Amino acid sequence: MQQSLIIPSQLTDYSTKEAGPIVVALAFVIALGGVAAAAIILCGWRGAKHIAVNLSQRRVEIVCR
Amino acid sequence: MPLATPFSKYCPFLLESDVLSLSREFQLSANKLQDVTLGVNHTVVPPGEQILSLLSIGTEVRQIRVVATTMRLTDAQLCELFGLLNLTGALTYRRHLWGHVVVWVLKLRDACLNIYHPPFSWRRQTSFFTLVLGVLRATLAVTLSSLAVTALFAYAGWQVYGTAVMSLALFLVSLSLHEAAHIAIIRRYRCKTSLLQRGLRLGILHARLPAHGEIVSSLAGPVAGVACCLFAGAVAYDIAGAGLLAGLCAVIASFHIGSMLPWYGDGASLRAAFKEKQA
Repeated sequence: MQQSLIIPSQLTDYSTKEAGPIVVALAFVIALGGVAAAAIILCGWRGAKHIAVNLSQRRVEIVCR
Repeated sequence: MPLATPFSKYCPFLLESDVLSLSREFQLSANKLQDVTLGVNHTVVPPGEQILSLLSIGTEVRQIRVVATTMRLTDAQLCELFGLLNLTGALTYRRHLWGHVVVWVLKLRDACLNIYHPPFSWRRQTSFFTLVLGVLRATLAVTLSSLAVTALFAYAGWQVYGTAVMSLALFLVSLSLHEAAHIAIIRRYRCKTSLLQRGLRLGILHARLPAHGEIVSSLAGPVAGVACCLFAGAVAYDIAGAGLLAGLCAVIASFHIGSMLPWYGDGASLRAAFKEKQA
């Protein structure tokens, strides 16, 4: 019968207070990619010269090149 | 035949030429492997003692396998041992540069077959330098992928690229503050702390705190991260009028709030502490 070579202490479970950046990676890349993709869709491959987001008026202003 | 414990799944991908050794935060003595920071002892069963002695002096994987074969140890037993050591951050390795390339290619091949290998853990005593290094290690993939995406969409205006770089910097700073807040509270309870990074995960290991301390330290990290993001967002919007940057600050703040979810590190600690307090 196979036996374990080490028996871990029961006093700790090695769970950490952790931060997994994978969630923010997705949100971050989607947010930035979304804005950039919107600019390309609206302005074509020449892209935008200027992008401004007005949170209070809930408006995004994209000025094409 | 696999063993009954779950540790094998943490066994990292190893090359025969890799040199494995024990972390300085662990001490091997008379069938005990002591975790110096947490102050706990793991019991080593006699055949494992010889393998751990080899690790304590730094030994190539191929030599460890030869010794294991002469001791009639199975691959499953070795894998379980390495898995537990990797989970606790006790396993360190040296690999030559070409080896890293080979491992990346082999891991990519296996990923195509839906086989995934856990990364090596990186464990250090906490200090300003190790905290920054840990944050950079854990976020390297995020940083590179974000920069790559924004670079691909550079057509959309350089302003987006500048915003991406600034928000990335904020992300790194807020993540460091998040962990630093945990450490500051834990140290107030005179507990030693260690930083453990594995792949995209970065966390703080510490000895058990009283329930009240656990609650405060679990809350301190997300609060510090959110405060940093809100401050930066307010400055960006009110002073610079940068709505996009302010929006990204809100995204990053939501990540810090997300770490309070019950299945996540901080949320799980908080839930356990509340349970302990009620008991």
